[in-house]
Amino acid sequence: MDVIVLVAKGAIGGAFVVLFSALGEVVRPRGLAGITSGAPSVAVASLAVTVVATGVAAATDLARGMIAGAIGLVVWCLVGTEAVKRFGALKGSIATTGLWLVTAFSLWAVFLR
Amino acid sequence: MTSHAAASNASANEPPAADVGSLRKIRAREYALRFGFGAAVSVVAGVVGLLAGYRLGGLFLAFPAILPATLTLLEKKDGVAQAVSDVRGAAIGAVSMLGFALIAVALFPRVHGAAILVALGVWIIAGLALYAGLRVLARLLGERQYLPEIPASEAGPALEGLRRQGWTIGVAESCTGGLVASMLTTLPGADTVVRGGVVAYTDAVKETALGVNGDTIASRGAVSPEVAREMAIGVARKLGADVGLGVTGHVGAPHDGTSRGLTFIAICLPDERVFLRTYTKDHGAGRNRERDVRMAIRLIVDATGAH
Repeated sequence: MDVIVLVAKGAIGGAFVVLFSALGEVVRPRGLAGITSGAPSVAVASLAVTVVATGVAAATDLARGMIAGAIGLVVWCLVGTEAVKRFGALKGSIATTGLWLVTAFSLWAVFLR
Repeated sequence: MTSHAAASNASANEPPAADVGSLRKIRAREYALRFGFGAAVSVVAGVVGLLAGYRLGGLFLAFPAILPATLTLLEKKDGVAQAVSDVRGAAIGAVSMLGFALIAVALFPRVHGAAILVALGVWIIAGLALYAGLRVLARLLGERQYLPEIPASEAGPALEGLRRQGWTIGVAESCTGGLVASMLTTLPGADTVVRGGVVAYTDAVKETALGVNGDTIASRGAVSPEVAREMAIGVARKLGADVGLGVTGHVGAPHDGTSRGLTFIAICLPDERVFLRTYTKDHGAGRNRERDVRMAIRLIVDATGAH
């Protein structure tokens, strides 16, 4: 059962990521299109499958964790703007991902554990 | 170069629009890559949720999984300024995503699965409202568009490629106004490979200084693949260089029915083969120019490496 749920999350999550990134390719200007880079594509899929397969309580806990992750993503974007300017897209964005991990896990450890 | 330079914040005033045709330019591999990243993060979130609790798994619902890949692709295609714009947009999406999560937490116990739809609606409305609000604020405060300095070191591989092949180069520029030649000549040792450059900003100079056929300009337009090709061939011949590079494009609004942001870059090799690149997207005058300079340098790198 768990494997089926994971496969469903993976398949639907991947499909939503493709859908939102296609939307980002279509929309102009780039600043507006960039909003889709912060789309809750994985979240929509995972939460929907969790509600159906596990129940609302589990989905609520997932969404609680997502609050910490989203704060991490805001930090990622704010620092990422400068990092991409300074170090280029690949190095800048990968380096900033470490900051997401620190922010999100710290918030989880302090408020959600 | 037939059009006048537009204000440097042209893209700042670009109205929201949709370009469905751009979907066809994305390769199946890019879609597959994005699907793979999305699926992988979803599975990781699921596995962590099962093993260590849903709250910890939930962190990964907001993991910046495809951003590094998207930004790298964007930088490669359209320059670093566009990648920076994308991160700024992503910041709006991320703040709205926080709203999504808060609404989901608040509504799950009350409306169950429907909470996801409401939260998604909140994400869309919050994203658009924040974007609109920031646009207004930017106009009130005076937009400061990020236009990167292009490090001269980026021209290094182009010079190395030319040196490796034992070729000299002449550069004919219209919309880039001499910036490509400037970059190439900034680095030490450029004198062994760079013969010189011509800034052929007007049609008359293209004809007199480079030998571009007036009929070609009249029939195809100054911003056309044919003129870029003749500029490349002409500058190599006039300056006695092995390789010629021609760049022609619109800086501002075109008056000949072609699209804003259109640029053609041609390179003519000693064996008379000509490689041409076309860029059609408009990112505003300053960013178009940044793209054109970078892509011209990259074309030299590719042409010298491919030989």
